[in-house]
Amino acid sequence: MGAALLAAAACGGSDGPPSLSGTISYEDRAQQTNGRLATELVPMPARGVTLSLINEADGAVLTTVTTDDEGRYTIEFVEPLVEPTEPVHLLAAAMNMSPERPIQVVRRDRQVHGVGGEAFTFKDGTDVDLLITDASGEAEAFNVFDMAVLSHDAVTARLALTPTPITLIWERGSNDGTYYSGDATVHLLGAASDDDGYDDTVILHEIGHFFEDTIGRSDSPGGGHDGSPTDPNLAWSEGFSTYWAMAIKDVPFYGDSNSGGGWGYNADTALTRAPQPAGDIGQDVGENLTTEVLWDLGDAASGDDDQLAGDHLRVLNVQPMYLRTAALRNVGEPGVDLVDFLDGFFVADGLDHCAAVRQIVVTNHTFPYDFGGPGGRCP
Amino acid sequence: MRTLVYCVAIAASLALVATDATAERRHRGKPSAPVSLTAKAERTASGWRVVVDAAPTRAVDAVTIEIDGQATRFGATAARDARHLVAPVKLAADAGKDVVVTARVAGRSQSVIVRVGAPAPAAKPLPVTVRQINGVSVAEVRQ
Repeated sequence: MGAALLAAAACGGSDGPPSLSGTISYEDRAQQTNGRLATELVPMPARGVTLSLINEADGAVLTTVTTDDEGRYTIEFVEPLVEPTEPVHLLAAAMNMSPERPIQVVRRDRQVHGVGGEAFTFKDGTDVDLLITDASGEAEAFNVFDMAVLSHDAVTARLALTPTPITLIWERGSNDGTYYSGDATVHLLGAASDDDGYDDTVILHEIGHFFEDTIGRSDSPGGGHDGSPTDPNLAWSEGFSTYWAMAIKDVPFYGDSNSGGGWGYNADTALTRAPQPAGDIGQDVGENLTTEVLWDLGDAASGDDDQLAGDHLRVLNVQPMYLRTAALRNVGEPGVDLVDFLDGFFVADGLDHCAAVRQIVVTNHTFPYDFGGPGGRCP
Repeated sequence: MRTLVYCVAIAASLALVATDATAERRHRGKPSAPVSLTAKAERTASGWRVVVDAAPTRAVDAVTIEIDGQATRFGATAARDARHLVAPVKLAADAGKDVVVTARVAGRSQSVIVRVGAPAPAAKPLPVTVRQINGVSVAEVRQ
């Protein structure tokens, strides 16, 4: 019956005030390990979105609430809010104005994405749901929003920090590119040839750059990066941001779909080595080397190629606890890179895991880190 | 005096260019495939064809080019050495088609869409109603 589903719960006459409730969800396409998107559309809860009740006749905004983490909402009609007697409809907006989730997903004209459901007449105790369909061209905006919710929740709950507001620009047909522009704004492609609206890991990668800037540090010169050995500051920034996407979803996978299918990358099974094992500590490296080292430091000990029983919080915390404020050691490339991260890791973690880190960094990835940072010298 | 004005103008222009360049340099994009991919449609005596050039940005073991789902694999390719592929496209008279062209290099891929034949019909934008929600402009699309 289209987008809005009216599910009569027929449980009116409760003891509380008259109320309207329901679930807001959006259609999502799951990422597959080869980077392609599943063809099947799966409803996902639209958590933390702004939901308004709109008078159908004059467009007046009667009230506004926020959905919970299951996409549920409840509107209670308590004075001065009165029960509507005329037809109304729901409007879900891809924004949240709370301090914990200060997120907006906007069109290129900077207006927030919104989807309105079918008109209905209010009846106390009735559930009114809204499914934001792929066919509306708006479901991807709500998926982008959900990735920002995941990231902000990680900053709040896991890192115990207050996230700063972020704006994400996505629109179907947009050829603007996918990048973080350094002004708390993420730009995402919506082009027919390459649409990133359902590419969770691409969205999270760009949000990773935002968090580098706002809770950590980046000295990246920016520019292209295709996996080739490159400037250490750029390799660090890009490798960290890909790791951010993996850590937030807790899977060592990055994928990017396009009209030809797409591509995927697994940081736990891939092995990128430094080009010069006996070379300079400031040598050019590939971004994947950074991602793989970070993943190995953060994942569990069993079932992979390293023995370190890590956790992602310990890895992520190096950004706010060390890189954000520390005076970096004057070795290798000036500006923050993998060397500075490893320095910070040992400052935060102590020297108990020197052997396991040496196996990951030097033995597996042949990166000539000197293990002599401000945290002390490893034996 | 005129010289001074010119100098100030030139200096201001250079400063503007430098600012733009810095901003552009700071853009942090998504991981890309190590390949430069170009594709274009050409009319031939018997119809249409798609012409593709894919040049890896570094030496790679292989380059695979897909045109409309048909894959052609090239072997080891040096940096900036373009692989060239031409594929005919069959179309009914006055018809048009979007052809997907993909280059797969070093585990990554890049795709472009080439329009062949008649132009695509212009997409009709969905009607939008702008509402103020908590002081923010929300563009509402009705389903």
